[in-house]
Amino acid sequence: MAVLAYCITETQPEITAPHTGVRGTAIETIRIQDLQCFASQFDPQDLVGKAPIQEAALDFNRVLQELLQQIAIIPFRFPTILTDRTALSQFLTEHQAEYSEALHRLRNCVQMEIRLKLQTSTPPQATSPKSGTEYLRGRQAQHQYIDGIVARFREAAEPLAKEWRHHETAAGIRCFALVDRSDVQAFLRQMKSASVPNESEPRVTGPWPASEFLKEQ
Amino acid sequence: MPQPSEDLVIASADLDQEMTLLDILDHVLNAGVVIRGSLVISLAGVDLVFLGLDVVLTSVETALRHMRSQIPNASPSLAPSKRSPR
Repeated sequence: MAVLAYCITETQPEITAPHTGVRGTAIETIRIQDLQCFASQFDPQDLVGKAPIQEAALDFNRVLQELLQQIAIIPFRFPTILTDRTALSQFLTEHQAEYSEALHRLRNCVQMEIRLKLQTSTPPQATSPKSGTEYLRGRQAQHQYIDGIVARFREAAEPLAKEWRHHETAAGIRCFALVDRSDVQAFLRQMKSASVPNESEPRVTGPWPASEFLKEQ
Repeated sequence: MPQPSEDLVIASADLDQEMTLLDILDHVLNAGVVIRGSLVISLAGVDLVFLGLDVVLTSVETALRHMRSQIPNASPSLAPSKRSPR
């Protein structure tokens, strides 16, 4: 039977896995050397044919969060449904070294995220450009403005962030800080103290699995 | 000189401040290991990972429309996009 994959962790006997996952299915564990993977037997038709899919996504997130509270996890993107347990075992065996290294490096760490909205009018003086040069200067000014905001958050995060990454998306800037799980509250306090313009509508969320830091830079 | 942002929103289980549906969906749909190929089950030739994305995005738009009608002063950023319904 097909299986829905949730996440991978290091093998730790004391971890308490949630009993049920998406659509009430029983959570099972697959062990490959020093890794364990959490999955449940799943009929793909149940995903689209039953209750709203958001419920399934929230159930999936619940499983991840319950495990993340106990140990570092590498989540699968929802919904990843494999043909059977053998296929999942085969995938884990192929990537065992890569995931073991990542989980060892990310042990005791979580990811915090800061989102900044890109206002089309920032910097405030931007108006319709009269030439290509003017347009490029406007873009340059906008990037400098955004870089300045990111730098303020990064500076505030500096004492606690083990690593920092950020990238631009269509909706704005997403910044990711890798912090020790014992530092989450302190990190949130640091973020509150960051001096940034309100128009960037900063939003801090977390803790999340350290998905952005799976590969070393 | 900028001051500590009064509009800073913090959504963290560690502060008993719940994350929004959008925060959660964004993470479960966009972050994590992606498996492609014959190991993954697909419906009508579309990997479920991507099928799920389409279905959930449409559902989120419906949810956002509902939220907008419930909260008259909600941020314009909550406005649904112009994507056509599937």
